[in-house]
Formats: sequence, C-alpha cells, structure tokens
Amino acid sequence: MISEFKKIYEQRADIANEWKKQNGKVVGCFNAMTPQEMIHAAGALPVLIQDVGMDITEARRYLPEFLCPTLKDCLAQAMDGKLSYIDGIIMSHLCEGMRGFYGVWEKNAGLSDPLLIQVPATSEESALTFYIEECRKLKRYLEELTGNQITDEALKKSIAIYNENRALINKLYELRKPSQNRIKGSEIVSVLNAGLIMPKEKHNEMLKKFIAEKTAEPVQETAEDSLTFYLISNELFEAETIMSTIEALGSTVVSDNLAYGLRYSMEPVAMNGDPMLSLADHYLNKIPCPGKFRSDVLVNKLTDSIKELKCNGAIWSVEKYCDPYIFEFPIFQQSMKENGIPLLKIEAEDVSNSGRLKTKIEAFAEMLS
Amino acid sequence: MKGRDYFKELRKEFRTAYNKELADTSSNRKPIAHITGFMPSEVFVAMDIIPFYPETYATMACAFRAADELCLAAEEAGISRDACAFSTVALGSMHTGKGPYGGVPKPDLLLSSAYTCGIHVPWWEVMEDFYKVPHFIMDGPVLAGAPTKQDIAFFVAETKKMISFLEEQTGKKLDMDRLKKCVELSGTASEYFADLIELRKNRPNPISTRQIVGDMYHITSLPGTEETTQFYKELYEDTLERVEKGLGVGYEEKFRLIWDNIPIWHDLDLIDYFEKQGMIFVYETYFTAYWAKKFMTDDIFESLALKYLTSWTNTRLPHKIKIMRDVVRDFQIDGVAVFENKGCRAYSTGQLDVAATLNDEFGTPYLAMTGNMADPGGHDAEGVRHKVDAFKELLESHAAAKTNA
Repeated sequence: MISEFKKIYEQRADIANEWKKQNGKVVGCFNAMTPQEMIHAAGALPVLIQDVGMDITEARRYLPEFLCPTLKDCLAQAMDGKLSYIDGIIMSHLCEGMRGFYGVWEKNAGLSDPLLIQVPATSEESALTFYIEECRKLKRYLEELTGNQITDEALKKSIAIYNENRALINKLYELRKPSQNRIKGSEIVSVLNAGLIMPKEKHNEMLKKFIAEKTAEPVQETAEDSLTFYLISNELFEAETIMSTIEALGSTVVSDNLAYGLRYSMEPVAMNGDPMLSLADHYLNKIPCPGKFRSDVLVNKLTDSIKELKCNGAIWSVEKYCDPYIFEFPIFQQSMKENGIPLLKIEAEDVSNSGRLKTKIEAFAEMLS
Repeated sequence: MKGRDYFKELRKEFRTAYNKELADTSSNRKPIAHITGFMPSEVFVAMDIIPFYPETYATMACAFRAADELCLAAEEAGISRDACAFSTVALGSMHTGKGPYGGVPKPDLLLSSAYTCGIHVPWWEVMEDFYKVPHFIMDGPVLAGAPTKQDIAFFVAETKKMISFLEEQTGKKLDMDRLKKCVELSGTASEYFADLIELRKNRPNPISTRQIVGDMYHITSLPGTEETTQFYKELYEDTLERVEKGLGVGYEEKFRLIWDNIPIWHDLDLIDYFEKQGMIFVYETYFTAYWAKKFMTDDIFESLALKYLTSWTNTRLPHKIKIMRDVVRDFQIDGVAVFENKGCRAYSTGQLDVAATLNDEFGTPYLAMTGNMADPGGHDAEGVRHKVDAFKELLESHAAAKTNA
C-alpha cells in the first residue's frame, strides 16, 4: 500500500484540481501550526506546501541565500506555476524566516494574498486571548473565501475527523516500536506525506486498511547487530532520505519528532465546550513545536522518548538556517551527554550527498557496535 | 559648536560609568537583567535594575576585535555560526568569560521578548540553561500592518505582567510616577534623535553615519534618564548648527545613499570607504525604525507599545516600501546599499524587493552586498570594496545619463 500513498503525493496537483471541480476551494498552509480543522469545516481542502526539491534560482532573486531552504523551495513552486490550484494561503508565524517571507510571497508568488496568523510565544491568558482573536480572523477569511459559514457543528465534525486521523497516526507509531517492528520509518513518511494533501476522510480510510494489513503481518525479526535510532528532523523530504539510508544498512529509526507525525498527533483536540476555544487552546498549548515551545521542555520530552525506546543513539538532522533548532541543539547535546546517549549530527550537505550520508551513518553505527 | 570629539568624550564617560555599575560586586549593588533591545527598558531604569543588552555587547566585541574568537567558542559549544551573529558573539563570551570588560556580566534575571525578533527566546533559553536564573518571556504581536488595538492591548498586558515579575523578583514595587518620568524622558530623547535624522535631508548631510553609530549608545543602553535626553538635545542642537553653517561630513557629497540593514560592526571602515569616494550615507533604516521616532501619547503604556512594536523587523513589506519611497524623495537619494546580512535573517528577507521596487519606480540603482553584521569569519572585505568601486561607476553613469536626458 505504500506505493499508493506515494502515488497520491506525487499526484497532489491532480487531486487538488479534481477536488476543485467536485467540491470547492483549496487552501494552502505553511506549517503544522495552522488549524486545518477550520479549513475543513469551511468545506475547503487544506493542503500543506512543503519542500519538493525545486530549482530555486528564480526565487533567490527575492530571498537571501541564508534563508530556510523550504521557504525558498515553496516560493519557487509558486513562481513556477506548480501551485496554481491554490485559492487561499494561510501562513502561521512561527519563525524568523516566515517574518519577512510573508511580504515577499505576497509580492512575488503570483497567488492570492495570504493571511498571516500570529502564534504567540507563550500560552498564558493574554496570549490565549490574542490567539483566539487570530482564529476568529482566520474564520472570517475562510468564510469569505469559500462562501460557507463555519458553524460550531461543522467545526466539531471536522475536529472529530482530524482526531481520528491523530489516533491512527499514533497507532502507526505504535506498530513501529521495536517490540512490534511492523512499519519502517521511511514508510511512515510516505503515509504522512499523502495525508498532508488529500481529504482527511480518505486518508483515514486508507490508514485503517494499512494498519489492518500491517497488524496481520507477523512481527519482523531483526538481525542481532541491528541498531535502533531516534531521528530529530524537521523536514519530511530529508527525513525520508536519512531513514531509507539507515534501513538499507540494516538498522531502524524507531521514532522521530517530525512536525506532522507523533508531535502533531500525540494529543486529540478537546471535544467538549466551544470548538473554537478548544482549537485555539490545542494549537497554542498541545503541539510541542520548537518555534513556540520552550527548548528545555522539548529536550526533556525527546530525552524521555529516546530512553523509553532504549535507542542505541540519536540522530540530529535539521535543515540549515532553522533558528529554533539551532538554539535547541546545544541543550539537546548536553542532555544526550548527561544521559550517555550517543549523538550524531548530520548537516544539510551530508543529506544532499548520498555517499557522504551513508559513510557518516556507517561510521556512527560502527562506533556503537 | 561642540563637535564630534565632544560627544565621543561624553560617550566614553557614559560607557565607563555604565560598565563600572555592571561590574559592581558590593552588597548593595543593583541587580542586572539581561534584556533584549525591544523590551521597555524604561521600566528597568525606573526600578533601579541595570538593563544589559547582549546584542550591544556583541557590537562592542566587534570594536575590540574579539568577535571572531567568541564566535568560534560558541561554535565549539554547539551553537552554529548560522545563528544570529549577535547571539554567537555573546554566547561565546558567556561560555569562555572572554571579551571586552571581562566578558558578559552574570545576570540576576533574564528577560526575553518574542515579537520583534523570534531569536531572542531560544537564545535566552540557552543562557537560562547556563546561568540557572529566572527567565521571563515577554510575549507580543508580530504585526501584520500598523499596530491594531488588539496588538497594543496584548503588548500592554505583557508589559504589566513583566512589571509583576520584576516586583516579585526584586521585592520592590514600581513607582508609577517614576516610570512616567522615565517614559517622558525617553520620548523626548527619541524625538531629538528623530529631528536630528530629519536634518539629514539637508545638503550637505550634516552628520555622518559613522558618528551616529557611536552616538546611539546612550539611547540603546539607558533611555529614560536625564543624561541620555540631554545628550540627544545637545547632539541635535550641534547638528542644527552644522546645517546653518553648511557643514557636511568632511567628504565631497557626490551621491546620497541609503544603508539598508544593521551596520557591519566589525568593518565600520567600509562606511568611510564609500564616503571617501563621495558616496555619503544620509539615511539608515536601522536608526529610524528602532530609536529615532516619535511615539508619545497621553498613555505611557501605549507609548511604550508604539515605541517597541513598530520596528523595522516588525514591519511588513508594503509599509517598508511606502516609507522608502518617501525617503528617496525627501532625502534626495541617488542609490541604495543593500547589506544582505547573514547574521539577521529577519532584517534581510524582503530587502531585495524594496530595492527592486525603488529601482523600478525611481530608477534608483542599488548595490547588494552579502556579509555578517557581527561574525567576521569569512568576511570578504576586499571583495566588498571591489563591489563598492563598481557601484560608484554605476552611479556616475546613471547621473551622466540623467544629465544628458
């Protein structure tokens, strides 16, 4: 079934265009901190815009070389007409890259003006009050774009569908644990990728079928010398390359902190009370995103997971110029040292060079054997 | 007329006194708080807490030629040199204890802000992990345009929360009358600074960028004091006198330029290199957007919100373009020096769009240079100067074409 998930992601433009013919609008989002449930409740299809490995020469005319590669890639896609199916764009402000990018996108992407949603850095009352207002702004934007009213009932229904998706993704991660070993990390990336661009209901159906198939399979035996790793990475494109390389060497990545994986799914949105307030509280307080969460809290969570899974080592591979991770790294490095967990840092240059990547991972594995 | 050396001397006295206070180890010393340049420092002055700015310290390390060594030390401690360069310099000092004035002082408190620069919070968390002292995060809005009522209300609520934190930590109550006085003094100092910038519309430009870069030390370190306000009053009056006497910056003013971005603190001689060739800087986005502005209203908290929220890095592209259009017209600009600053992504993203728009609308040529505001590692001083030479030729041919037209 993995090939089906892969095919869906590759055909994302066709899927979106088909949706437009049958249903309505397509709304692009830039990161996991956008409350997609609201887009869904407005009857639109939320799609995530992410790095696809574009030639960024033209985008570089407007953006500095030292900006996050994903944002440059996204602008390149838009300028190349690859996102022409998108009717509306939502940007959640999470990092310094996004701060200036919003204006550059508005001027050069050739698409409709984006909506900038501000995500406060803290979660106390003043921040929550502010963020609820931002969510109301998002609601007005979506209602105007789609012509549909977002009722509480519709929002509750959408939250339930997304919560089901979260629960299924959690199940996937369970099946990936060393005790189960039924799903590979690279396979999960393909499953997640598809979920970012297709209707959630369909993704849920496919996930149920996939999980049933995998559960029915016998537990896979692993070689004695197989090692287990935890991957800290912020980008699916890179993560898949690293996981595949590790798997080809006979080891496994038993978990990760990918933005759209367990990190996004670990907690459901509360179903009681005002759904808008529940969403605001969830996105502000429940998703441990490095752009908004305190580094020490995140590092403690990561360290606990790595210890719980009894990983042989941790692998840190974060895109170049990603500021929240740049500052989290020294704290994480210290925690790994204190807990006696071997750590490998992979640079962006390593990921783009398959030979170098393989050599680096092999050397790390040898050190651990 | 008092002249540049007079202000340099005042600055030296001020810096010595400020650093002496930071180094005080007596039992009744004032507490030190490491804060960002975007937090209402008037509150700290009013509460007898010494605000210390790691960013300003990084600029000083550049002047003392210590930045490269400190960046290397930060890198060895796991902080990439791709990070904000002010942070790598200051964190390098934190880890080694090296740098001007015996390294960054140990803080009693850490306070970071999240709205104008998203780097501060994670940077301060690295300090928190090292120093193990209380850390307060001041939240606030990232503006989508001019500040709205909602934005101001958020900032004011956060400022009040910060005051409660400081009262709790120091055991001292804030005197509101004293704060009011500090904010008024700060507002007056910023107004003098803004008026001084306006004087640069004159030909010749009466005050150099190089001088202002030094003379901003008071307002960036201790706004809200009598001494700071008096400094800018005198500086304004001195500059006005220069205008009346028709005095320029000491070089022939062939072309009038904008410097867009933070200065290159480890290579300030580059400014002189431009000016010796007749390319005089008369406007910088850096000064006006942060300190040289008029923000006072009847409400002191609203005034602080207007001062600290409306900075260049918290301004969206269309508004930046609007400001720069006016600057090109009012300051009679001939060219723009765009410094693509690897050390600050927030400042640098969108710069090329601003410059390209001015070029399209006014035909204003621009020069794009890449470098780093505080990390001298890999700085190509010679290569940048070759670019400056080529830019001069471009300005000359552009001027000749205009004359012939």
